[in-house]
Amino acid sequence: MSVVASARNLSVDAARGRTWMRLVDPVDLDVHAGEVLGIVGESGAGKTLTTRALVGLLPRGTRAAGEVTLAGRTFDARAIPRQELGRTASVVLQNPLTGLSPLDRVGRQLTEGVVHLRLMSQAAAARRATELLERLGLADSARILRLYPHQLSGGMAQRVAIASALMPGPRLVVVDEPTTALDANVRIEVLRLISELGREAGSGVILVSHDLALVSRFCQRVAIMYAGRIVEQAAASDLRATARHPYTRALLNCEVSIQARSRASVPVIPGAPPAPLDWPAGCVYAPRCPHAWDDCVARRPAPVAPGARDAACHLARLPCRSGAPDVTAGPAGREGMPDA
Amino acid sequence: MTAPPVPRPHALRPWARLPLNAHPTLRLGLLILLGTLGVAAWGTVALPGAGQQDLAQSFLPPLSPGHLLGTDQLGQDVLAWTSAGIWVGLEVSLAVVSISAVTGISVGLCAGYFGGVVDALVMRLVDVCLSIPPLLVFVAAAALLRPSMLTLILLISVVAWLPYARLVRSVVLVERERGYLLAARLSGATRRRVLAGHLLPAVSTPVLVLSSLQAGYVLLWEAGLSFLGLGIRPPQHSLGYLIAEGRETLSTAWWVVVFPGAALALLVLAAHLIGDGLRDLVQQDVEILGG
Amino acid sequence: MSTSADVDRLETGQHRAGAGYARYVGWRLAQGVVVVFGAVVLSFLITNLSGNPGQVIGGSFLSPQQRQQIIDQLGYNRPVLQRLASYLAGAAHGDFGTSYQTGEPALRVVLTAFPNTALLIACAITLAVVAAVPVAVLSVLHRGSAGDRASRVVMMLAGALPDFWIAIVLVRLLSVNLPWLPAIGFTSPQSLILPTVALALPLIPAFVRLLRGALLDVVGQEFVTVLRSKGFRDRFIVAHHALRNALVPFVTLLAMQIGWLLGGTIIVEVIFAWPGIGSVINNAVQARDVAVIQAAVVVVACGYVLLNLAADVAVTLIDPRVRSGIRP
Repeated sequence: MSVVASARNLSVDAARGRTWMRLVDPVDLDVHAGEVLGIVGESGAGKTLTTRALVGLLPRGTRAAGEVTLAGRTFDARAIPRQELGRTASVVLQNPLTGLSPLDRVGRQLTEGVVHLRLMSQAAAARRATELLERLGLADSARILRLYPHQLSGGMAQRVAIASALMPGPRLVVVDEPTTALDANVRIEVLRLISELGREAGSGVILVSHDLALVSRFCQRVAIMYAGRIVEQAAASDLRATARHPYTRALLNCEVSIQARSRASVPVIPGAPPAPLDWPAGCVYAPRCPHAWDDCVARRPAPVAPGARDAACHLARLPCRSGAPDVTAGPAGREGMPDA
Repeated sequence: MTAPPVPRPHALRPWARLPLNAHPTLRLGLLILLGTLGVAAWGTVALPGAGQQDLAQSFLPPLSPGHLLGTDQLGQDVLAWTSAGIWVGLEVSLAVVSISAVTGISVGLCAGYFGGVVDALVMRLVDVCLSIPPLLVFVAAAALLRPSMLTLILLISVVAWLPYARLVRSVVLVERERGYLLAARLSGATRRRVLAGHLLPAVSTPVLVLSSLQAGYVLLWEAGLSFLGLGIRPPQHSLGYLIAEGRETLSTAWWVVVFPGAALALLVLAAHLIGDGLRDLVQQDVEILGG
Repeated sequence: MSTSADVDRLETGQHRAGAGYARYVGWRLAQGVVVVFGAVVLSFLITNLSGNPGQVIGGSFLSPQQRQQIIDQLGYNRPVLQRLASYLAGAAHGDFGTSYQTGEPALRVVLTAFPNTALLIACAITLAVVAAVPVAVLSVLHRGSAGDRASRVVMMLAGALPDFWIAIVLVRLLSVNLPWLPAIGFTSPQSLILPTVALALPLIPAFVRLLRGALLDVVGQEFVTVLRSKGFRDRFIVAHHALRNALVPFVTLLAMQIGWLLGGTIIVEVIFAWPGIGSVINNAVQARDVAVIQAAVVVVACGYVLLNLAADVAVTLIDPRVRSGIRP
C-alpha cells in the first residue's frame, strides 16, 4: 500500500515565557492509502497536537519540528504551505456546527475552498457538493445547500462537515474526537461513512479518540499515545490479544462492557500521567508501570518505528525464547488486574 | 450557633499579591501616575499660590525664570495652576468613584442576588440610563444647579454608578450558579453574611478594574464641563477651565493649552494602564489557579 | 440518511423562528418607547432640580419685571405636579413649551438643528470605522509582535487625550496652516471635515479596542481552523470571514456604548460653532432657556433610540441567525 502521509521526528513545543516546553516527543507515523489509522490516548497525551502538526494547523504559541510528507511531497514541519494543506488534507472536527461559519450558506461554505484553490470551477464544485451530500444520505441536497448552519440538525451538520472535508479529494482526512457527536448511532454512522468513502477514494484516514473500543471497531491499525509519545503501534485485530506495552494492556483492562458481570470496583490505572514539565528521564510510563526495572528508569525507549508492529518498552522488546513476553502477569492482589 | 466556614472560591484579590515587578502595564501606569502626582506636588509646594496674578508677567513662555511652564494672560503660573487643577480633578474623581462604587455595588448585589421583578425593573432602568449620553445630562443639569464642587460630584455620581451596577449584577449572576453560595445558606449563613462575606470579595476585583477606568472618565467629564464653563470655576482651579481660557490665544501662547491637556492625558492614560494591568493580573490568577 | 424527522424539525423550527423574530422586534420597539418616556420625565426633573425653573430662567440677563412676565407667560407659577401633568400632556403632542428667547416652539428650535448633528455623527462614525478596521485587522494578524504592542500603546495614548483638547489643537494646526479648511460654522461641504475629524479621532481607539476583542473571539472559534485547513491564508480569513463574524458583536457593543462615546459631540459643536443640537443646548444653557433644554434632552434620547434601532437592523442584515429569531 502506498503511503499518503508520513511524519519523521515530528515534535511539538509550546511557548512558555521565554522558553519552549516539549509537548510531543519525536514521533514517526505512516498513513497508507485506504486505511484508517487510530490514535488513542488520554486527554493531554498529545494526539490532537500531533495530528495538527502533521497538517500544519498548530495553534499560535506552538511550534513543530521534523519532517512531514503529504501526498509524496516532503516539507519541513515548521512551514507546511497552506495551499498544499488545502489540496491534500482535510480535518473533521468534534462539533460540526461550530466548524461552520454562521454567516454563510452551506453551499457556499462547501464550494469556497476548492474554488479558491482553483481545483475546480464554481459549477463543478456545486455539482460535486451535491453528489457528496447525496452519497452521504442527504437526499434533499439542493435545499440543504441553500440553508444556513443554524438551520441544520446535528446529523445533517455532521454529514455536511464530512462532505466539506471530502470536497478537494484529499489524500489524508483527520477526524478529531468524533465522540462528542450528539447521538451514539449518529457517531457510528458518521465513522462508517468516513471509512467507506475514504477507502473508495484511496485516502488515508486518521481517527483521533480516547475511546479504544470505537477505534478498534473502525481502524485497521492503532497507535497508542501516552504523555506525548507513541507507546505502541499494532493492527487493530491484533491489539486486544497481543498488546505488548503495559499501558496498552492496562487500558484494555479498564474497559467496562455492558455484558460483563458487575465487579466490586471499576478498574483504574493508579496514578496519573506526568505533566510535560515533569517528564522523567527514562521511560515516561515507568512511574506507574508494575513491571518497571532499572533500565526503564534510566534509559528512554526508542520511538516506535512507523508502520511496524512495535512497542516503546524495554521489556516488550526483549527477545524472549518463548515469543512475546507475557506482561499480563502481575503482582497478586492488585486491584484492576484481569480476571482471566 | 455560628455557621461553619464554607470553602471559598479562588479569592481573586490582587492586593494579596501585588507583584509590582511582574506586570509591565501595571508598572507603567503606576509610574506615570506617581510621576505626574510628584510634579503636581512639587508645583503646589515649591511655587507660590496658583491664583497669583501679575499682569506684568503675562504670557511668558516656558523656561522663563521662575515660571517653568510659562504664564497665562493674567500672569498666573501655568505649572502652579496645572498642579492645583490636578489635585482638584483627583479630588472630584476619587469622590465620585467612591460614591458611585458604593451605590452601584449595593444596587447590583441586590438586583443580582434577589432577582425577580425588582431585578428586571432596575436593570431596565440602568440600561435605559446607560444609553443616554452622560455629558448631555451633565450639561443640562449643571446649567440649572448652583455651581459648586459638591453639586458637580453628586451630578457625575448620578451617572457613574450605572456601570458598577451592571457589572456587579453580572458577576453575582455567575457566582450564583456555583454551589458554594447554596452551601453557605444551607449551613446556616444569613443572607447578609452571604452577601458581605462571599459575594463582596468575589466582585471586589472586577470593581477595582472598573474603578480605575471610571476614574479616568470622571477626570475627562469634569474637565469637559469646566471647559464649557459649567463646572469648576475660579477661585477653584480646573484643567478644563485653563484650557478654555487659553483657547483664544492658542497660536501665540500654546503652553497654556498644551500643558494642562498633557497633564490630563497622562492621568487618564495612567488610569487606563492601571485598569488594564489589573485586569490582566486577574486573568493570570485565573489561569494559574486553573480557571 | 436524512430522515423525515430531520425535515420535520426543520419545518417546525422555521415556524417558531418567524414568531420569535417578530417578538424580538416588538420588544425592541417597546424598549424604545420606554426610553423616550423616561427621557421626557428626566428632562422635567433636570430643569426642576433646583426649584422652580422660573427662578433660573434667563440667568442674570433678565430684570425682575421681565422675569415675572415670563413666569406668568410660561406658567411657571403653578404647583409642581400641575406643571408636570401639563408638561407630559404637551409632550404627547410635541409641545415642549416655548423658547423665551425667540418665542418659537422649543421643539422646532431643536429639530431644526437635529439634521446637522445627525450628519456630523454619521460622518464621524463612518470615518472612525473605516480607520479602525485596518488597524484592528492588522493588530490581530500580528498580535504579540513588537509593532502590535507599540501600536496598542499609541492607541491608548490617543484614547487618553481629552476630545476637546484634540479639537482645539486640530483647529490650530490645520485651519491656520490650511486656510481653505473652514473652522467655524457650516458654510460649505468642506466645513464638515474638521469637526468630523475632531469627533472621530477619540472614537478610533475605542473602536479598535472593541473590534479587536471581537475579532480575537472569532479567531479562536473552530470554523477558523476548518478554514485554515481548506487552504485559506490567515490574512484572508481575518479580513473576510472573521471580520464579518466580528461585526455582529461589534455593532451590538457599539450601540450600547455609543452614548458614552459620543458625549463629546456637544463640545466639538461648540468649538467649531457647528449649528447642531450641541450648539443649541449650549446656547440654551448659557441663557437658561428651560424649554429648549427640555426639548433637547428628549430629542437626543429619541435620536439614540433610533441609533440603537439602526444597529439592530444592521445586525439583522449581517447575521442570518437573528432573522430566524435566534439571539446569538
